[in-house]
Amino acid sequence: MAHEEGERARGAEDEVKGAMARLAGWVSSRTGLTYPLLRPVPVYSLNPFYWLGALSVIAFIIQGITGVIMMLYYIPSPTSAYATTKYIFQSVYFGQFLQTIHLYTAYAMIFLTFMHMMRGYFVSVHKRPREVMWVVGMLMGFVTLGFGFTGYLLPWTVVSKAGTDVGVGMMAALPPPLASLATFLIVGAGGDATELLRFYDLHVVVLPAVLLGLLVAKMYMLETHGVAEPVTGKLTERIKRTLPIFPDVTVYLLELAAIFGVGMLLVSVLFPIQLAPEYSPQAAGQIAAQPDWYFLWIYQILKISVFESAGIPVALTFVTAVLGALVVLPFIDRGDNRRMVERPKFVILGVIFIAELIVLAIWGLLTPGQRISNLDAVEVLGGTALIVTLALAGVYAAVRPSARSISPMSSAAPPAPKAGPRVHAQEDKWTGGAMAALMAFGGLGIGVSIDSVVQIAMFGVTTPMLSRLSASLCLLTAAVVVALVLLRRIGIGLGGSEERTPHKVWGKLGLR
Amino acid sequence: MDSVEKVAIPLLIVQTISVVFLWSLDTLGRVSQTIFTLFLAADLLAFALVAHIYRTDKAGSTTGGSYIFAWMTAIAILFIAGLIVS
Repeated sequence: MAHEEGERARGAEDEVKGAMARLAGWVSSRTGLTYPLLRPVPVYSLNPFYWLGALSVIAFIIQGITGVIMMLYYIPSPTSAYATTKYIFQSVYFGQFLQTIHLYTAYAMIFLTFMHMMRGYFVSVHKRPREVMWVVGMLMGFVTLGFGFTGYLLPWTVVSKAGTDVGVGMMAALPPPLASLATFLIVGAGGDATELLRFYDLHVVVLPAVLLGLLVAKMYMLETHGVAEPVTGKLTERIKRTLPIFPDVTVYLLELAAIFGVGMLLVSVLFPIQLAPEYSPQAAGQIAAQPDWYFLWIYQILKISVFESAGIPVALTFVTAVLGALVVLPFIDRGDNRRMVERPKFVILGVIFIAELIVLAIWGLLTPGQRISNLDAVEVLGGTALIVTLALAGVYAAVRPSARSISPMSSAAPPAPKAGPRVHAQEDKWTGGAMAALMAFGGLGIGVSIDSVVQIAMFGVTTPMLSRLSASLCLLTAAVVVALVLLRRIGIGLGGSEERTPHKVWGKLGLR
Repeated sequence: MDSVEKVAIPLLIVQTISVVFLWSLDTLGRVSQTIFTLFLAADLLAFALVAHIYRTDKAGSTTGGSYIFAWMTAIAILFIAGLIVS
Protein backbone atom coordinates (compact mmCIF):
# COMPACT_ATOMS: atom_id res chain seq x y z
CA MET A 1 0.00 0.00 0.00
CA ALA A 2 2.71 2.38 1.08
CA HIS A 3 4.71 1.26 -1.91
CA GLU A 4 1.84 2.11 -4.29
CA GLU A 5 1.40 5.54 -2.69
CA GLY A 6 5.11 6.19 -3.11
CA GLU A 7 4.92 5.19 -6.77
CA ARG A 8 1.94 7.48 -7.31
CA ALA A 9 3.74 10.40 -5.62
CA ARG A 10 6.84 9.81 -7.74
CA GLY A 11 4.71 9.64 -10.87
CA ALA A 12 3.03 12.94 -10.01
CA GLU A 13 6.44 14.48 -9.33
CA ASP A 14 7.73 13.27 -12.71
CA GLU A 15 4.67 14.75 -14.38
CA VAL A 16 5.35 18.12 -12.73
CA LYS A 17 9.01 17.90 -13.70
CA GLY A 18 8.00 16.97 -17.25
CA ALA A 19 5.62 19.92 -17.42
CA MET A 20 8.29 22.25 -16.04
CA ALA A 21 10.85 20.94 -18.50
CA ARG A 22 8.39 21.42 -21.38
CA LEU A 23 7.63 24.95 -20.20
CA ALA A 24 11.35 25.75 -19.83
CA GLY A 25 12.01 24.26 -23.25
CA TRP A 26 9.23 26.33 -24.82
CA VAL A 27 10.50 29.57 -23.19
CA SER A 28 14.07 28.77 -24.20
CA SER A 29 13.17 27.95 -27.80
CA ARG A 30 11.12 31.16 -28.17
CA THR A 31 13.40 33.58 -26.34
CA GLY A 32 16.86 32.00 -26.65
CA LEU A 33 17.43 32.54 -22.90
CA THR A 34 19.63 29.46 -22.49
CA TYR A 35 21.72 30.24 -25.57
CA PRO A 36 25.22 31.09 -24.34
CA LEU A 37 25.47 34.69 -25.49
CA LEU A 38 28.93 35.22 -24.02
CA ARG A 39 31.89 32.99 -24.76
CA PRO A 40 33.34 30.75 -22.02
CA VAL A 41 36.03 32.33 -19.88
CA PRO A 42 39.50 30.83 -19.23
CA VAL A 43 40.30 29.80 -15.66
CA TYR A 44 43.32 32.13 -15.48
CA SER A 45 41.01 35.12 -15.74
CA LEU A 46 39.23 34.24 -12.48
CA ASN A 47 41.32 36.83 -10.71
CA PRO A 48 39.92 40.13 -9.40
CA PHE A 49 42.43 42.12 -11.51
CA TYR A 50 40.73 40.78 -14.65
CA TRP A 51 37.36 42.02 -13.44
CA LEU A 52 38.08 45.64 -12.52
CA GLY A 53 36.11 46.80 -15.56
CA ALA A 54 33.20 44.53 -14.64
CA LEU A 55 33.26 45.92 -11.10
CA SER A 56 33.10 49.46 -12.44
CA VAL A 57 30.06 48.39 -14.50
CA ILE A 58 28.53 47.01 -11.29
CA ALA A 59 29.22 50.37 -9.64
CA PHE A 60 27.46 51.99 -12.62
CA ILE A 61 24.43 49.72 -12.16
CA ILE A 62 24.24 50.57 -8.44
CA GLN A 63 24.41 54.24 -9.36
CA GLY A 64 21.69 53.75 -11.94
CA ILE A 65 19.37 52.18 -9.34
CA THR A 66 20.06 54.73 -6.58
CA GLY A 67 20.03 57.58 -9.10
CA VAL A 68 16.62 56.63 -10.52
CA ILE A 69 15.14 56.54 -7.00
CA MET A 70 16.58 59.99 -6.26
CA MET A 71 15.23 61.30 -9.58
CA LEU A 72 11.72 60.73 -8.19
CA TYR A 73 12.32 63.58 -5.72
CA TYR A 74 14.98 65.80 -7.27
CA ILE A 75 14.08 68.99 -9.17
CA PRO A 76 16.88 70.44 -11.34
CA SER A 77 16.40 74.16 -10.82
CA PRO A 78 18.57 76.55 -8.81
CA THR A 79 15.70 77.33 -6.47
CA SER A 80 14.74 73.71 -5.78
CA ALA A 81 17.87 71.59 -6.32
CA TYR A 82 19.30 72.07 -2.85
CA ALA A 83 15.90 71.87 -1.13
CA THR A 84 15.03 68.58 -2.84
CA THR A 85 18.49 67.17 -2.15
CA LYS A 86 18.03 68.08 1.51
CA TYR A 87 14.55 66.56 1.45
CA ILE A 88 15.94 63.27 0.13
CA PHE A 89 18.66 63.40 2.77
CA GLN A 90 16.35 64.07 5.71
CA SER A 91 12.81 63.04 4.87
CA VAL A 92 12.93 60.13 2.43
CA TYR A 93 13.21 56.56 3.71
CA PHE A 94 16.79 55.37 3.15
CA GLY A 95 17.51 58.86 1.73
CA GLN A 96 20.86 59.34 3.41
CA PHE A 97 21.82 55.76 2.56
CA LEU A 98 20.92 56.32 -1.10
CA GLN A 99 22.91 59.52 -1.39
CA THR A 100 25.91 58.07 0.42
CA ILE A 101 26.00 54.92 -1.68
CA HIS A 102 25.45 56.93 -4.89
CA LEU A 103 28.43 59.14 -4.06
CA TYR A 104 30.81 56.39 -2.96
CA THR A 105 29.99 54.09 -5.87
CA ALA A 106 30.66 57.06 -8.16
CA TYR A 107 34.08 57.44 -6.55
CA ALA A 108 34.61 53.68 -6.77
CA MET A 109 33.63 53.70 -10.45
CA ILE A 110 36.20 56.37 -11.23
CA PHE A 111 38.87 54.63 -9.17
CA LEU A 112 38.14 51.18 -10.63
CA THR A 113 38.11 52.58 -14.17
CA PHE A 114 41.51 54.14 -13.54
CA MET A 115 42.85 50.89 -12.04
CA HIS A 116 41.44 48.96 -15.00
CA MET A 117 43.18 51.31 -17.42
CA MET A 118 46.52 51.21 -15.60
CA ARG A 119 46.46 47.43 -15.27
CA GLY A 120 45.78 47.23 -18.99
CA TYR A 121 48.67 49.63 -19.60
CA PHE A 122 51.15 47.58 -17.58
CA VAL A 123 50.16 44.18 -18.96
CA SER A 124 49.87 45.58 -22.51
CA VAL A 125 46.29 44.64 -23.28
CA HIS A 126 46.31 47.51 -25.77
CA LYS A 127 48.50 45.60 -28.21
CA ARG A 128 47.38 43.87 -31.39
CA PRO A 129 44.51 42.96 -31.90
CA ARG A 130 42.92 44.94 -29.07
CA GLU A 131 43.91 48.50 -30.14
CA VAL A 132 40.34 49.68 -30.78
CA MET A 133 39.13 48.08 -27.53
CA TRP A 134 41.68 50.23 -25.71
CA VAL A 135 40.50 53.40 -27.48
CA VAL A 136 36.85 52.58 -26.64
CA GLY A 137 37.87 51.89 -23.04
CA MET A 138 39.60 55.26 -22.82
CA LEU A 139 36.45 56.96 -24.14
CA MET A 140 34.47 55.13 -21.46
CA GLY A 141 36.93 56.51 -18.92
CA PHE A 142 36.30 60.06 -20.13
CA VAL A 143 32.55 59.50 -19.95
CA THR A 144 33.00 58.26 -16.38
CA LEU A 145 34.84 61.48 -15.52
CA GLY A 146 31.99 63.33 -17.24
CA PHE A 147 29.56 61.64 -14.84
CA GLY A 148 31.62 62.93 -11.95
CA PHE A 149 31.84 66.44 -13.37
CA THR A 150 28.13 66.77 -14.13
CA GLY A 151 26.91 64.99 -10.99
CA TYR A 152 29.03 67.13 -8.70
CA LEU A 153 26.95 70.22 -9.48
CA LEU A 154 23.51 68.68 -8.94
CA PRO A 155 23.19 69.05 -5.12
CA TRP A 156 23.75 72.81 -5.66
CA THR A 157 25.85 73.16 -2.53
CA VAL A 158 28.37 75.96 -2.18
CA VAL A 159 31.24 73.48 -2.55
CA SER A 160 29.82 71.76 -5.63
CA LYS A 161 28.82 74.95 -7.48
CA ALA A 162 32.10 76.73 -6.73
CA GLY A 163 34.07 73.62 -7.73
CA THR A 164 32.14 73.25 -10.98
CA ASP A 165 32.67 76.93 -11.75
CA VAL A 166 36.42 76.28 -11.64
CA GLY A 167 36.02 73.59 -14.31
CA VAL A 168 33.63 75.64 -16.43
CA GLY A 169 35.98 78.62 -16.17
CA MET A 170 38.76 76.49 -17.65
CA MET A 171 36.72 76.05 -20.83
CA ALA A 172 37.04 79.77 -21.51
CA ALA A 173 40.79 79.25 -21.92
CA LEU A 174 40.27 76.91 -24.86
CA PRO A 175 40.78 78.26 -28.40
CA PRO A 176 37.79 80.54 -29.30
CA PRO A 177 35.76 78.15 -31.53
CA LEU A 178 36.19 75.27 -29.08
CA ALA A 179 35.43 77.48 -26.10
CA SER A 180 32.19 78.70 -27.69
CA LEU A 181 31.10 75.18 -28.62
CA ALA A 182 31.93 73.72 -25.20
CA THR A 183 30.17 76.59 -23.43
CA PHE A 184 27.09 76.23 -25.62
CA LEU A 185 26.90 72.46 -25.21
CA ILE A 186 27.70 72.19 -21.53
CA VAL A 187 26.61 75.41 -19.92
CA GLY A 188 24.21 77.08 -22.34
CA ALA A 189 23.50 80.79 -22.40
CA GLY A 190 20.75 81.09 -19.81
CA GLY A 191 22.74 81.44 -16.61
CA ASP A 192 22.52 79.11 -13.59
CA ALA A 193 19.14 77.61 -14.50
CA THR A 194 20.27 76.50 -17.96
CA GLU A 195 23.59 75.31 -16.64
CA LEU A 196 21.98 73.10 -13.98
CA LEU A 197 19.43 71.72 -16.43
CA ARG A 198 22.16 70.93 -19.01
CA PHE A 199 24.26 69.19 -16.37
CA TYR A 200 21.24 67.20 -15.21
CA ASP A 201 20.34 66.16 -18.77
CA LEU A 202 23.92 65.18 -19.49
CA HIS A 203 24.14 63.25 -16.21
CA VAL A 204 20.92 61.25 -16.46
CA VAL A 205 20.35 60.88 -20.22
CA VAL A 206 23.25 61.67 -22.53
CA LEU A 207 26.19 60.20 -20.62
CA PRO A 208 24.41 56.95 -19.59
CA ALA A 209 23.34 56.43 -23.22
CA VAL A 210 26.87 57.07 -24.51
CA LEU A 211 28.40 54.82 -21.85
CA LEU A 212 25.99 51.99 -22.62
CA GLY A 213 26.72 52.31 -26.35
CA LEU A 214 30.47 52.17 -25.72
CA LEU A 215 30.01 49.26 -23.31
CA VAL A 216 28.13 47.26 -25.93
CA ALA A 217 30.88 48.00 -28.47
CA LYS A 218 33.60 46.96 -26.03
CA MET A 219 31.79 43.79 -25.01
CA TYR A 220 31.35 42.89 -28.67
CA MET A 221 35.07 43.29 -29.26
CA LEU A 222 35.83 41.35 -26.08
CA GLU A 223 33.71 38.49 -27.37
CA THR A 224 35.60 38.66 -30.67
CA HIS A 225 39.14 38.77 -29.24
CA GLY A 226 38.61 37.03 -25.91
CA VAL A 227 40.37 37.75 -22.65
CA ALA A 228 44.05 38.70 -22.99
CA GLU A 229 46.42 35.96 -21.84
CA PRO A 230 48.52 36.61 -18.74
CA VAL A 231 51.98 37.93 -19.54
CA THR A 232 53.86 36.01 -16.87
CA GLY A 233 53.79 32.60 -15.29
CA LYS A 234 53.20 29.24 -16.81
CA LEU A 235 50.12 28.90 -19.01
CA THR A 236 49.19 25.32 -18.14
CA GLU A 237 46.34 23.33 -19.62
CA ARG A 238 44.59 23.55 -16.24
CA ILE A 239 44.40 27.36 -16.25
CA LYS A 240 43.76 27.55 -20.01
CA ARG A 241 40.63 25.45 -19.50
CA THR A 242 37.45 27.49 -20.03
CA LEU A 243 34.40 27.79 -17.82
CA PRO A 244 30.87 28.57 -18.99
CA ILE A 245 29.51 32.02 -18.25
CA PHE A 246 26.59 30.45 -16.40
CA PRO A 247 26.76 29.35 -13.64
CA ASP A 248 30.53 29.26 -12.97
CA VAL A 249 31.65 32.72 -14.05
CA THR A 250 28.36 34.33 -13.01
CA VAL A 251 28.76 32.97 -9.48
CA TYR A 252 32.35 34.25 -9.38
CA LEU A 253 31.24 37.68 -10.53
CA LEU A 254 28.42 37.71 -7.98
CA GLU A 255 30.92 36.82 -5.27
CA LEU A 256 33.16 39.71 -6.32
CA ALA A 257 30.16 42.05 -6.56
CA ALA A 258 29.06 41.06 -3.05
CA ILE A 259 32.52 41.76 -1.62
CA PHE A 260 32.63 45.08 -3.50
CA GLY A 261 29.19 45.91 -2.07
CA VAL A 262 30.40 45.12 1.46
CA GLY A 263 33.33 47.48 0.92
CA MET A 264 31.03 50.26 -0.25
CA LEU A 265 28.65 49.73 2.67
CA LEU A 266 31.44 49.78 5.24
CA VAL A 267 32.92 52.95 3.75
CA SER A 268 29.48 54.57 3.87
CA VAL A 269 29.12 53.63 7.56
CA LEU A 270 32.61 54.79 8.49
CA PHE A 271 32.48 58.04 6.49
CA PRO A 272 28.84 59.20 6.30
CA ILE A 273 28.39 62.22 4.07
CA GLN A 274 27.15 65.56 5.34
CA LEU A 275 25.24 67.97 3.16
CA ALA A 276 27.26 71.16 2.65
CA PRO A 277 25.48 74.58 2.88
CA GLU A 278 23.41 75.82 -0.05
CA TYR A 279 25.11 77.78 -2.82
CA SER A 280 24.89 81.54 -2.84
CA PRO A 281 27.35 84.00 -4.38
CA GLN A 282 28.12 85.37 -0.91
CA ALA A 283 28.83 81.92 0.55
CA ALA A 284 30.92 81.01 -2.48
CA GLY A 285 33.10 84.07 -1.91
CA GLN A 286 34.07 82.77 1.52
CA ILE A 287 35.50 79.40 0.48
CA ALA A 288 38.52 78.36 -1.56
CA ALA A 289 36.86 76.69 -4.54
CA GLN A 290 38.30 73.41 -5.66
CA PRO A 291 37.03 70.47 -7.69
CA ASP A 292 36.42 66.94 -6.44
CA TRP A 293 39.46 64.69 -5.81
CA TYR A 294 39.61 63.14 -9.29
CA PHE A 295 40.11 66.55 -10.91
CA LEU A 296 42.48 67.91 -8.26
CA TRP A 297 45.54 67.01 -10.33
CA ILE A 298 44.45 69.27 -13.20
CA TYR A 299 43.50 71.99 -10.73
CA GLN A 300 46.93 71.79 -9.08
CA ILE A 301 48.70 72.07 -12.46
CA LEU A 302 46.67 75.20 -13.23
CA LYS A 303 47.77 76.74 -9.91
CA ILE A 304 51.45 76.63 -10.87
CA SER A 305 52.64 80.20 -11.49
CA VAL A 306 53.82 79.57 -15.02
CA PHE A 307 50.38 78.33 -16.04
CA GLU A 308 48.34 81.11 -14.42
CA SER A 309 46.09 83.38 -16.51
CA ALA A 310 47.80 83.58 -19.92
CA GLY A 311 49.43 80.17 -19.40
CA ILE A 312 46.15 78.27 -18.92
CA PRO A 313 45.86 77.29 -22.61
CA VAL A 314 49.40 75.88 -22.37
CA ALA A 315 48.47 73.84 -19.30
CA LEU A 316 45.28 72.59 -20.93
CA THR A 317 47.19 71.68 -24.06
CA PHE A 318 49.69 69.76 -21.92
CA VAL A 319 46.92 67.86 -20.06
CA THR A 320 45.14 67.15 -23.36
CA ALA A 321 48.40 65.90 -24.87
CA VAL A 322 48.96 63.49 -21.95
CA LEU A 323 45.40 62.13 -22.17
CA GLY A 324 45.61 62.05 -25.97
CA ALA A 325 48.84 60.04 -25.76
CA LEU A 326 47.04 57.54 -23.54
CA VAL A 327 44.20 57.23 -26.06
CA VAL A 328 46.57 56.51 -28.97
CA LEU A 329 48.91 54.39 -26.84
CA PRO A 330 48.36 51.24 -28.95
CA PHE A 331 49.79 53.11 -31.93
CA ILE A 332 52.81 54.35 -29.95
CA ASP A 333 53.71 51.23 -27.96
CA ARG A 334 53.61 48.85 -30.93
CA GLY A 335 56.13 46.16 -30.03
CA ASP A 336 54.99 42.55 -29.71
CA ASN A 337 56.46 42.04 -26.27
CA ARG A 338 53.89 42.40 -23.54
CA ARG A 339 56.01 41.61 -20.49
CA MET A 340 56.81 44.45 -18.09
CA VAL A 341 60.42 43.34 -17.77
CA GLU A 342 60.88 43.98 -21.50
CA ARG A 343 59.18 47.40 -21.51
CA PRO A 344 61.17 49.47 -18.97
CA LYS A 345 60.49 52.80 -20.71
CA PHE A 346 56.73 52.42 -20.69
CA VAL A 347 56.63 50.89 -17.22
CA ILE A 348 58.69 53.71 -15.72
CA LEU A 349 56.59 56.33 -17.56
CA GLY A 350 53.42 54.64 -16.27
CA VAL A 351 54.59 54.61 -12.67
CA ILE A 352 55.73 58.25 -12.93
CA PHE A 353 52.27 59.12 -14.31
CA ILE A 354 50.54 57.44 -11.35
CA ALA A 355 52.95 58.95 -8.79
CA GLU A 356 52.52 62.46 -10.23
CA LEU A 357 48.74 62.14 -10.21
CA ILE A 358 48.76 61.09 -6.56
CA VAL A 359 51.23 63.82 -5.58
CA LEU A 360 49.30 66.52 -7.47
CA ALA A 361 45.98 65.41 -5.95
CA ILE A 362 47.31 65.32 -2.37
CA TRP A 363 49.15 68.59 -2.88
CA GLY A 364 46.01 70.18 -4.29
CA LEU A 365 44.01 68.96 -1.30
CA LEU A 366 46.52 70.42 1.14
CA THR A 367 46.83 73.79 -0.59
CA PRO A 368 43.34 74.95 -1.60
CA GLY A 369 43.42 78.27 -3.40
CA GLN A 370 47.18 78.73 -2.94
CA ARG A 371 49.40 79.69 -5.85
CA ILE A 372 52.29 77.30 -6.45
CA SER A 373 55.65 78.79 -7.29
CA ASN A 374 57.56 77.43 -10.25
CA LEU A 375 60.44 76.39 -8.01
CA ASP A 376 58.15 74.35 -5.72
CA ALA A 377 56.56 72.71 -8.75
CA VAL A 378 59.93 71.72 -10.18
CA GLU A 379 61.15 70.42 -6.82
CA VAL A 380 58.07 68.39 -5.99
CA LEU A 381 57.12 67.07 -9.43
CA GLY A 382 60.72 66.68 -10.59
CA GLY A 383 61.65 65.03 -7.27
CA THR A 384 58.80 62.55 -7.60
CA ALA A 385 59.83 61.64 -11.13
CA LEU A 386 63.44 61.28 -10.04
CA ILE A 387 62.67 59.08 -7.02
CA VAL A 388 60.41 56.80 -9.05
CA THR A 389 62.91 56.56 -11.90
CA LEU A 390 65.80 55.72 -9.58
CA ALA A 391 63.81 53.14 -7.62
CA LEU A 392 62.56 51.40 -10.77
CA ALA A 393 65.96 51.62 -12.45
CA GLY A 394 67.33 49.75 -9.41
CA VAL A 395 64.69 47.05 -9.71
CA TYR A 396 65.33 46.70 -13.46
CA ALA A 397 69.07 46.54 -12.89
CA ALA A 398 68.50 43.59 -10.56
CA VAL A 399 65.93 41.75 -12.62
CA ARG A 400 66.64 42.50 -16.24
CA PRO A 401 70.18 41.21 -17.00
CA SER A 402 68.99 37.71 -17.75
CA ALA A 403 65.76 38.83 -19.40
CA ARG A 404 67.23 38.56 -22.86
CA SER A 405 67.39 34.79 -22.52
CA ILE A 406 63.71 34.60 -21.76
CA SER A 407 61.22 33.33 -24.23
CA PRO A 408 57.76 34.87 -24.23
CA MET A 409 55.06 33.26 -22.26
CA SER A 410 53.23 31.86 -25.18
CA SER A 411 56.27 29.82 -26.17
CA ALA A 412 57.07 26.35 -24.89
CA ALA A 413 56.63 26.20 -21.15
CA PRO A 414 59.65 25.47 -18.92
CA PRO A 415 59.85 22.06 -17.20
CA ALA A 416 57.51 21.60 -14.28
CA PRO A 417 58.96 22.13 -10.78
CA LYS A 418 59.62 19.07 -8.69
CA ALA A 419 57.40 20.05 -5.79
CA GLY A 420 53.64 19.65 -6.05
CA PRO A 421 51.51 22.50 -7.37
CA ARG A 422 49.89 23.17 -4.00
CA VAL A 423 53.27 23.76 -2.33
CA HIS A 424 54.31 26.12 -5.10
CA ALA A 425 50.98 27.92 -4.96
CA GLN A 426 51.50 28.48 -1.22
CA GLU A 427 55.07 29.71 -1.84
CA ASP A 428 53.80 32.07 -4.52
CA LYS A 429 51.21 33.50 -2.16
CA TRP A 430 53.77 34.11 0.60
CA THR A 431 56.30 35.59 -1.78
CA GLY A 432 53.65 37.72 -3.44
CA GLY A 433 52.46 38.86 0.00
CA ALA A 434 56.00 39.75 1.06
CA MET A 435 56.51 41.74 -2.14
CA ALA A 436 53.16 43.49 -1.70
CA ALA A 437 54.17 44.45 1.86
CA LEU A 438 57.52 45.72 0.60
CA MET A 439 55.81 47.72 -2.12
CA ALA A 440 53.49 49.19 0.50
CA PHE A 441 56.47 50.17 2.67
CA GLY A 442 58.22 51.56 -0.41
CA GLY A 443 55.10 53.51 -1.33
CA LEU A 444 54.88 54.85 2.22
CA GLY A 445 58.53 55.86 2.01
CA ILE A 446 57.97 57.65 -1.30
CA GLY A 447 54.80 59.34 -0.03
CA VAL A 448 56.31 60.59 3.23
CA SER A 449 59.50 61.71 1.42
CA ILE A 450 57.47 63.74 -1.07
CA ASP A 451 55.30 65.18 1.68
CA SER A 452 58.42 66.16 3.66
CA VAL A 453 59.92 67.84 0.58
CA VAL A 454 56.64 69.72 0.05
CA GLN A 455 56.57 70.81 3.71
CA ILE A 456 60.19 71.95 3.54
CA ALA A 457 59.52 73.82 0.31
CA MET A 458 56.49 75.52 1.82
CA PHE A 459 57.59 76.27 5.40
CA GLY A 460 61.37 76.14 5.24
CA VAL A 461 63.91 73.70 6.66
CA THR A 462 63.15 72.52 10.20
CA THR A 463 64.87 69.79 12.24
CA PRO A 464 61.73 67.63 12.70
CA MET A 465 61.02 67.80 8.98
CA LEU A 466 64.61 66.90 8.09
CA SER A 467 64.43 63.94 10.50
CA ARG A 468 61.16 62.88 8.89
CA LEU A 469 62.66 63.13 5.43
CA SER A 470 65.72 61.11 6.50
CA ALA A 471 63.57 58.43 8.14
CA SER A 472 61.34 58.10 5.10
CA LEU A 473 64.32 57.89 2.75
CA CYS A 474 65.81 55.18 5.00
CA LEU A 475 62.50 53.29 4.86
CA LEU A 476 62.44 53.59 1.08
CA THR A 477 66.04 52.44 0.79
CA ALA A 478 65.40 49.51 3.13
CA ALA A 479 62.34 48.49 1.11
CA VAL A 480 64.29 48.61 -2.15
CA VAL A 481 67.24 46.67 -0.67
CA VAL A 482 65.03 43.97 0.88
CA ALA A 483 63.08 43.71 -2.39
CA LEU A 484 66.32 43.21 -4.32
CA VAL A 485 67.52 40.58 -1.82
CA LEU A 486 64.16 38.81 -2.04
CA LEU A 487 64.30 38.84 -5.84
CA ARG A 488 67.78 37.30 -5.70
CA ARG A 489 66.59 34.66 -3.24
CA ILE A 490 63.66 33.76 -5.46
CA GLY A 491 66.07 33.32 -8.32
CA ILE A 492 68.27 31.00 -6.21
CA GLY A 493 65.23 29.12 -4.96
CA LEU A 494 64.22 28.31 -8.52
CA GLY A 495 67.28 26.18 -9.11
CA GLY A 496 70.57 26.65 -10.92
CA SER A 497 71.80 29.91 -12.37
CA GLU A 498 70.62 28.95 -15.84
CA GLU A 499 67.07 28.88 -14.48
CA ARG A 500 67.34 32.17 -12.64
CA THR A 501 65.16 34.09 -15.01
CA PRO A 502 62.80 37.01 -14.61
CA HIS A 503 60.21 34.91 -16.40
CA LYS A 504 60.10 32.63 -13.39
CA VAL A 505 60.68 35.44 -10.92
CA TRP A 506 57.60 37.35 -12.06
CA GLY A 507 55.66 34.11 -12.18
CA LYS A 508 56.74 33.37 -8.63
CA LEU A 509 55.58 36.80 -7.51
CA GLY A 510 52.16 35.98 -8.84
CA LEU A 511 52.19 39.09 -11.07
CA ARG A 512 49.66 37.86 -13.56
CA MET B 1 24.88 16.90 4.25
CA ASP B 2 27.68 18.06 2.00
CA SER B 3 29.93 20.99 2.84
CA VAL B 4 27.84 23.46 0.85
CA GLU B 5 24.66 22.61 2.75
CA LYS B 6 26.47 22.65 6.10
CA VAL B 7 27.42 26.28 5.63
CA ALA B 8 24.62 27.47 3.38
CA ILE B 9 21.72 26.47 5.64
CA PRO B 10 22.88 28.39 8.77
CA LEU B 11 23.77 31.35 6.59
CA LEU B 12 20.35 31.37 4.96
CA ILE B 13 18.75 31.22 8.42
CA VAL B 14 20.88 34.18 9.55
CA GLN B 15 19.96 36.09 6.40
CA THR B 16 16.24 35.41 6.91
CA ILE B 17 16.40 36.62 10.53
CA SER B 18 18.28 39.76 9.54
CA VAL B 19 15.85 40.56 6.73
CA VAL B 20 12.89 40.16 9.09
CA PHE B 21 14.66 42.41 11.58
CA LEU B 22 15.38 44.99 8.88
CA TRP B 23 11.67 45.28 8.08
CA SER B 24 11.10 46.48 11.62
CA LEU B 25 13.44 49.46 11.26
CA ASP B 26 12.28 53.02 10.77
CA THR B 27 14.75 53.96 8.04
CA LEU B 28 14.30 57.72 8.27
CA GLY B 29 16.75 57.97 11.15
CA ARG B 30 20.49 57.91 10.76
CA VAL B 31 21.03 55.15 13.36
CA SER B 32 18.47 52.90 11.67
CA GLN B 33 20.13 53.42 8.31
CA THR B 34 23.49 52.53 9.84
CA ILE B 35 22.03 49.31 11.25
CA PHE B 36 20.50 48.54 7.87
CA THR B 37 23.83 49.14 6.17
CA LEU B 38 25.74 46.88 8.58
CA PHE B 39 23.19 44.07 8.32
CA LEU B 40 23.10 44.35 4.55
CA ALA B 41 26.90 44.14 4.53
CA ALA B 42 26.72 40.99 6.69
CA ASP B 43 24.15 39.48 4.31
CA LEU B 44 26.30 40.25 1.28
CA LEU B 45 29.33 38.75 3.00
CA ALA B 46 27.31 35.62 3.78
CA PHE B 47 26.21 35.44 0.15
CA ALA B 48 29.81 35.82 -1.02
CA LEU B 49 30.87 32.96 1.26
CA VAL B 50 28.13 30.69 -0.06
CA ALA B 51 29.16 31.57 -3.63
CA HIS B 52 32.81 30.88 -2.83
CA ILE B 53 32.06 27.50 -1.27
CA TYR B 54 29.85 26.59 -4.21
CA ARG B 55 32.63 27.46 -6.66
CA THR B 56 35.39 25.62 -4.84
CA ASP B 57 33.16 22.61 -4.28
CA LYS B 58 32.28 22.53 -7.98
CA ALA B 59 35.95 22.84 -8.92
CA GLY B 60 36.65 19.67 -6.91
CA SER B 61 38.46 21.21 -3.95
CA THR B 62 37.29 22.24 -0.50
CA THR B 63 37.25 25.59 1.28
CA GLY B 64 39.63 25.61 4.26
CA GLY B 65 38.20 25.63 7.78
CA SER B 66 40.27 28.66 8.76
CA TYR B 67 38.98 30.52 5.70
CA ILE B 68 35.36 29.83 6.66
CA PHE B 69 36.10 30.72 10.29
CA ALA B 70 37.63 34.08 9.28
CA TRP B 71 34.68 34.83 7.04
CA MET B 72 32.15 33.86 9.74
CA THR B 73 34.01 36.05 12.25
CA ALA B 74 33.71 39.01 9.90
CA ILE B 75 29.96 38.35 9.53
CA ALA B 76 29.59 38.07 13.32
CA ILE B 77 31.50 41.34 13.82
CA LEU B 78 29.16 43.13 11.42
CA PHE B 79 26.08 41.74 13.19
CA ILE B 80 27.45 42.62 16.61
CA ALA B 81 28.34 46.12 15.38
CA GLY B 82 24.74 46.46 14.13
CA LEU B 83 23.38 45.36 17.50
CA ILE B 84 25.71 47.73 19.36
CA VAL B 85 24.62 50.65 17.19
CA SER B 86 20.96 49.79 17.85
